[in-house]
Amino acid sequence: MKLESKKESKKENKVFKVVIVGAGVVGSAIARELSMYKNLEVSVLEAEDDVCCGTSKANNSHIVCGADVNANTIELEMVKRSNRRWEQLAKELDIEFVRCGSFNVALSDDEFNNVLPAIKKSAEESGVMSTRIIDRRELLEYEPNVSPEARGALYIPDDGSMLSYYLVLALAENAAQNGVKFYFEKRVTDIKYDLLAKHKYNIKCEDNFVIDADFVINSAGLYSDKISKLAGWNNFDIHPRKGEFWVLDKKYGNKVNSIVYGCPQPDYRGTTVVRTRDGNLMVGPTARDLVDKEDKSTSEWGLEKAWEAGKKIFPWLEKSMTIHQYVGLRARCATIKDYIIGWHPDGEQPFINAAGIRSTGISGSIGIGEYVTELLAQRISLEMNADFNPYRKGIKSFAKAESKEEKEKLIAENADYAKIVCRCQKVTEAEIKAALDNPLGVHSLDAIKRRTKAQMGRCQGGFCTSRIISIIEEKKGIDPLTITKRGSGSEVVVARTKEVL
Amino acid sequence: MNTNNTCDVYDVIVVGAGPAGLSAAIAAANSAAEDSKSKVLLIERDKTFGGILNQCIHNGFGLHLFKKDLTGPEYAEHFIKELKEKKNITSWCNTFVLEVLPKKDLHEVVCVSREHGLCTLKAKAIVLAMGCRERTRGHLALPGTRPAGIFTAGTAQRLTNIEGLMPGRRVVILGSGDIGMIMARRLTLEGAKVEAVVDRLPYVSGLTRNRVQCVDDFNIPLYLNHTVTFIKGNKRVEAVEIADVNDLQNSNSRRLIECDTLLLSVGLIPENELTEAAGIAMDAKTAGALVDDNFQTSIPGIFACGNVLHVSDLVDYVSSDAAIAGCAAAHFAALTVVNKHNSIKVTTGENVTYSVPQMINIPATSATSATSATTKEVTLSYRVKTPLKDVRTVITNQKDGKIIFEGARKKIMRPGEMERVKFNLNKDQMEKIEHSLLLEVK
Repeated sequence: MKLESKKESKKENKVFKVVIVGAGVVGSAIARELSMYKNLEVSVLEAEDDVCCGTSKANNSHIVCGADVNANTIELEMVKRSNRRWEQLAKELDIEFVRCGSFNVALSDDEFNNVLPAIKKSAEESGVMSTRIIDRRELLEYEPNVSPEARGALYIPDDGSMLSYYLVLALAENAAQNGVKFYFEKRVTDIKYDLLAKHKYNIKCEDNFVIDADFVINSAGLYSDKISKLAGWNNFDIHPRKGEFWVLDKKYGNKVNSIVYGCPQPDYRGTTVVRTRDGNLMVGPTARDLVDKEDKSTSEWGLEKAWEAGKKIFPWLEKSMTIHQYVGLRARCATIKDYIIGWHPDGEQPFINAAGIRSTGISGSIGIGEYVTELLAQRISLEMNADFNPYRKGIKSFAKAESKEEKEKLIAENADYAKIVCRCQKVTEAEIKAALDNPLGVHSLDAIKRRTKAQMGRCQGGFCTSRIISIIEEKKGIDPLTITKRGSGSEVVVARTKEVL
Repeated sequence: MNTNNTCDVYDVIVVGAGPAGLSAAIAAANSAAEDSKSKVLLIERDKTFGGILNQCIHNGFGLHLFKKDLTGPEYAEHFIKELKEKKNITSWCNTFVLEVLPKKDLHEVVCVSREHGLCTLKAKAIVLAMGCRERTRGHLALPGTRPAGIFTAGTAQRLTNIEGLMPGRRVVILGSGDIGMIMARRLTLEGAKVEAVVDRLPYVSGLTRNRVQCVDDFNIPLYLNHTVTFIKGNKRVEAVEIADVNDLQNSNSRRLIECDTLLLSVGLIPENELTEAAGIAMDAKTAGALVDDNFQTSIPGIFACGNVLHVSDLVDYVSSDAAIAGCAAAHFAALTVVNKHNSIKVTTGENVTYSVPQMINIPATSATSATSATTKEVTLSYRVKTPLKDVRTVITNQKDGKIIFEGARKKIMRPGEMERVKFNLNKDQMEKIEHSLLLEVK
């Protein structure tokens, strides 16, 4: 990546009609939406080495329908717009989405008699009429392993589950296939606005990378306040809200079927136990407000808190079942308790914010893409691109091929499907190579992990890391010393043996 | 050794060609020598045979079995050479076993490789020898960030010794397991600075000889009763915080060690996903299958040996136990009628963590076994819970409390070093033990 960026920075200034800052789920959703239109050169600037490196990857994959989103907010509008499109989108982008429903479990009579009706009422105020309060007997039909203390639950049937990083990858890849240009490791350091210039914006990134644009869309997540300030829009700050999670071995995946919360806490939805589309259980998150946007560290305190909350709902949880812990930082604005989406308030600058995207960001993303496109259409005429291809093919998984025949078919098409590289997740060499061929051109170990799930299993890459390094070296002709975990500065090995002596 | 033949039914399929699998396959082939039709298939997922031995380029292997001080690859070579001479062993590398399916008559093994595609093989007997994997940071729930530079000791060993790549320059090692201590020496010899070896226990978890030869001799600071409490660094490890485990709440006991790499040598887990999926009964203490003294699991015809059964400290014992398993598997395959036998349990008492095997077979009745030997030799492998001084191993009949075996007093027994006893059960004792033997160290 380093070499490429040096080469590129020597070239003349790049010019795009629209520059999107930030390639999380919001930036990628906007990029894909804009890629449907003709003559609209779009590029995305991302500070990290891949899409989906921040909040978008670190969440619990819960797609909400709006039941727990406050009425009369842009957030609710965005979530509802997205909610109409998930099934179709999943088909187009070849990703798994299931409306598995979610539950708020009441562990006492008080919660059952008082809290659940209150959440139901609030869901109805937000226009979600499908929720039901169910008793213990019915809850057991959905979640037979729930705590013996569970009195009943609020059932939200329209909630769903989708692996968030698969969504972002698919959106970005599809956008790239339709002409959007992604630039990685381009942290924006300055945005100059000149009303009289040919292109109104001149954007500077680290590494002397410069790009001109007619429109700027800010979807920089945790850093969206900084980007916004560079454009002179500075009435809000984004403070990260840390959530800590545990990931359990797939072995225990069948003990939970959907998304199970306790009762909501004041100011956050509470801790949940989820079965992901990948078959792992996840326990978390916590909620702790921070100042440091880079503090992605887990803590003894936070992990313990998440664990206790999870164990209340499913008392059989044991820490020996866990394989990994991680942190997500929600990009939340403490003062404006809603998404901040719109044109620059000076009424002139062609600058759109899509900021303050709180914990519902994955669920709201598609709506945000739609809405931002509508905003843009107010100032330029957008014409549908007849060549737009909404379909994107994911990497076929050997482990997920259900029958022997299906597996044999994969091997017949590509013999690399017969070579298992990641022993825990049974990821084959064919999948690793397909990941390396991704349209975004990224190749760090974490990029491979998010695309294939190799290194994500119970040995956490202990077995396959060195093997994946060899495949990258062989296929991409890259020196293993330059292979990173996630971008420059995170090189996996530091030297060849005998070089340190 | 064949590499290509497939046949309808194998007598024995061995899963995994590390030290246990190699030894089991050879023993199975040897014990079927008179019947040349007997066929053994050895399946290995890596591109070479020998398993983890190949990356263990240090010495200390084979002292018991060959009375030689060998490196890992040399030790493996002994077996690989023999393997190649055996006409009745077929060996496949680059082949991954996806499933072991116990069946009423012939068991099945589902595997996949470029050469053979996806295939289902039938076998009269199966030996499970998948070895173990390393515990990770996730198992410890070690707080902090998740940068590059965190490796399990075995992964670092593979990178260094097989790939020729240095995992780091300034290294802290958490856990004083054998691989951790060996990597402390290895990386020091490669020019890295090992800042510390840290273990939460008051003693090293690995062999004493490794502490002396790999840590003490290189003046590497050893922090016992300490653990890593936090990992710092965004893209790459920058430092780790360590603390006294007896004073964790006291922030003054915490201090930062600057480093770019953290190696974890915090235990091994027998790799039993195939075993569990096959429905084989497990021992919670060893995290391996429950076996009898032939290393047969709860499913007749399926055997388990080596680190998949319980984590051993010396490979020599793995090889000799695996040979028993391989031989028993070949005998099982040759049987037309399954011999009836009774089994007695081995229970662990004072100071003992676990013992393998968990069952001992004895002939069903003395009447039907008139021709069989009147005594039976039994070997038990076990570990003590904490370091013990001036103790001995005592085995009693749990029914009447009578002592069956009493070992010599040992100056010291450590959890890091596996204990083994060999004793004989005579006919009289076998008849008198109804349910179980009790193994104790006191």
